[in-house]
Amino acid sequence: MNKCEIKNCERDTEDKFCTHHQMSWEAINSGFEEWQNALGTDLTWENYLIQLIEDDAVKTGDLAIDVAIFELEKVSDKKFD
Amino acid sequence: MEQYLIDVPKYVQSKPYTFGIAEKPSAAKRLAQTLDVKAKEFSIKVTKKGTVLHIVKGWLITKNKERIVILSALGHLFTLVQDGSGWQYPVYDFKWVPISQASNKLDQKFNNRIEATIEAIRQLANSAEKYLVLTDYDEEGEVIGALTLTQLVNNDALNQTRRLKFSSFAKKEINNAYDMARSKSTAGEINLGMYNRGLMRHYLDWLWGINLSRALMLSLKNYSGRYHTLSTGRVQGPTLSFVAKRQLEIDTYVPIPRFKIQIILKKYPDLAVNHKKGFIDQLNPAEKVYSSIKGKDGLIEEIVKNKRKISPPAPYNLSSLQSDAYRYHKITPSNTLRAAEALYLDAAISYPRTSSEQYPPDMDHLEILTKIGGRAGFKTIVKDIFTKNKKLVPKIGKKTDPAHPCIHPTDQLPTKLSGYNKKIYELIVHRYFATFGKDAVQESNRVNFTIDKEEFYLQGSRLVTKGWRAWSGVQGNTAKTELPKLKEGQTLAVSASELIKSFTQPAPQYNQSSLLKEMENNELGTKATRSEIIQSIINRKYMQGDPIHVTPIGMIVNEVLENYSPQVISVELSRELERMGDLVEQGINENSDSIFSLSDAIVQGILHLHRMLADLKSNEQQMGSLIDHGLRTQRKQELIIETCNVCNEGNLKIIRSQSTGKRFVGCTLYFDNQRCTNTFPLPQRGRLEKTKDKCKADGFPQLRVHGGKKPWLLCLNPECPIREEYLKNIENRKKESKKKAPALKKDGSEIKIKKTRLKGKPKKKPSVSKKDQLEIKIKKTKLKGKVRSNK
Ligand SMILES: [Zn+2]
Ligand SMILES: [Zn+2]
Ligand SMILES: [Zn+2]
Repeated sequence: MNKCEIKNCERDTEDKFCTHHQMSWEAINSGFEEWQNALGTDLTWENYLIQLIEDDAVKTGDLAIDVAIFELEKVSDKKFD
Repeated sequence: MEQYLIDVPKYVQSKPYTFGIAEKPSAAKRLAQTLDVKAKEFSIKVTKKGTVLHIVKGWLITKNKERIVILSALGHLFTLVQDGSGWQYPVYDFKWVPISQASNKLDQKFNNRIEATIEAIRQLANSAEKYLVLTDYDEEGEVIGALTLTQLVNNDALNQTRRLKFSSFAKKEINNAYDMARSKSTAGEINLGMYNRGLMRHYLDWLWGINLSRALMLSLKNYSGRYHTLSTGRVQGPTLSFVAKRQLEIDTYVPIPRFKIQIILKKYPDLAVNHKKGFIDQLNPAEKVYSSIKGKDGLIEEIVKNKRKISPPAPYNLSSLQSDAYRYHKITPSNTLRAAEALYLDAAISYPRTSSEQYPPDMDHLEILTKIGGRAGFKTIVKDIFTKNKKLVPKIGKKTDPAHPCIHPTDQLPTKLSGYNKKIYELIVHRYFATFGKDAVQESNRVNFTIDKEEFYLQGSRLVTKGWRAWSGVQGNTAKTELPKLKEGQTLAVSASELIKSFTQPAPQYNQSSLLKEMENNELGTKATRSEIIQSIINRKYMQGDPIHVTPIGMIVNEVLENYSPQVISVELSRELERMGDLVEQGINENSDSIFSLSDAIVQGILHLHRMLADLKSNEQQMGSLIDHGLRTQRKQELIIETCNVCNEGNLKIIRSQSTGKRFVGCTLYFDNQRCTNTFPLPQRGRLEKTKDKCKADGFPQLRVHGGKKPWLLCLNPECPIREEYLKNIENRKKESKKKAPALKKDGSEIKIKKTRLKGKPKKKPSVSKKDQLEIKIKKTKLKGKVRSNK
């Protein structure tokens, strides 16, 4: 058993994320394709995540926000490497 | 029994007499006074070992020379408990005991009252010649009446029992029911099918409740050594799962952008203009449309008018009344039921727990309308009904009910009306009026116009003939918009147009009314119990608010059951058990031995339950871990922050407003007559967590907010310098990200990163259960007072 990788989640899981965060992750993943379809393929993964997290008009679910933050931190870490 | 001294007035005890059992004291009074204008109230002093337990009130009436002594059962006098001892599961042995003996938190005064009532009934019922059941005519009423007699007299008592079957407390109805009970007709017999079905429901609900709740609690205790009250039930489980499932959809939801052209007309700025395509999915085509119409005016191509007849509605049954009460007055289904029951007890309306949409065949509409017309506010409508209807033939619906007609007003006006009762009574009366009305006619108008070949339209409607709507109070109000007079070929000047980006939204949260509908659609529970089940889940703090959201612990309970014994929350099983109930009811009423009996139903139920419990037992470890985790998360989000800085007495707590759904920090003394009104605003998004650290600038408590790029500390003080600065930073960041937002730069490298990262792992199923860990023998269950042979 591992713990879900999302901060403060701590749920037991055999995968990377617990079931609910996994569901959110899948929604974020497929959502990106739909965002690109709507806005154009120039939309970056990073900008997509920032909007999910910070734009008040985008009513992202709480669990999906957890995952978006997790993914965004990975992108930011990479930049500073 | 020697220990009780029961002091009954001599004139009451003189034989022979019939013993009557009513549901509640208020009903006993109303029935007694309706059957006999000279009804006499008397008192029975019940003493136990020298101390007076309670003075029990009763009624003595004489009707057709029959002397009837009426006592009331105070709702339920008996409850089911485990037969045997030990905190373990499974338990399949149970027995009825007086509520006062069941170990729970009921107060001593109430227990004394129950105990005294039981002894008074025992004394008077055992000397009676025959019996009369006067409870509400439904499953629960049948159980209360028959169970009281079988428990306190014996099973044979039911052979000397007659039944008053009535759908309202109106004088005529009660007296007719009494004549029927005196006759040999089956209409005056106790309904044993209903009684057995009611017993089945009690037994299965008890078995489900105690075993599943213990499975939850013991898994936590065995995993962590800790104790926490957890529960679920036969109908609660599936009901909570609807809300939890919807909530998970909302919590994991990722909105998708879409586009809309917004147009404001110069002369009619308030009219909503719609593009023929509605939303446009992609920015490019949306921009093309927008640039082609920008700065141009519209031309009306076509005006389409349509007339539509709207026939009067069917009379109310409980579910349509609950739905309308919520729709027009935001009265919750359980409050609606309570108000309707008060009106029923006041003899003003018929029995509300009904699914029928049909009036009783012998209903005297002329009489009822005349009486109601005597009330200010209804007078004009009644007059109108009489002038416009030569014959009083109301509209009826298709739905029926085996025991009762639709909900309708009686010929007796309510004695006093206020609050919810008034609103509910008015809905019922106006609906009654409406069923006498003619069709309403509505004209809808659609104005199609183009701006440079792009098609737009205006939509409006108006009522041409009011028909029944004129008589139906708030139900007749239509929020439709009427369009101004326009002509084909006319130019529509446009004052502004805009391309708007919006986002898709998840399915809405349930409210009490839509949840009730969902239960009904899935045949969960009964019309009589649904709203109470919702209320009980709220009382257990598994759901709260309106719209309803599931609390963290409610989520956990649901998830545990979903993962380790999905049958518990399945709608199919619940339906199967209802069908079993149908068989039990028919079996008794059709008087055949070979048919499915109550005991068969209980055995079947236990077999289902046994399988579910085996699944849970073999996953005890995982369940315990999940629950333990859920409780720890909940504690982290614990609502109380610290003692209030204003009154120094109450606690500062995160509160969600019932009306707006917004959250804020407030003092707990607010709920104590508003003794303290200290509040602090909160951001509405992001998960909040308590912290121990105080703000460095002003010493106010801080909350950690999850939901920005990084969790941040929020000082409660709205004027805090640190808080102000932080919020300013957020604003700036937002502005920047908005600039970047439609991100029109080529940036292929980022997309590649994304693709390598986003390879999901397949979900694994929970570990296989070892059913053989559990060894249970299904003992013969003791079903005291259950079935009597039908001869
Ligand atoms: Zn997680
Ligand atoms: Zn205070
Ligand atoms: Zn501060």
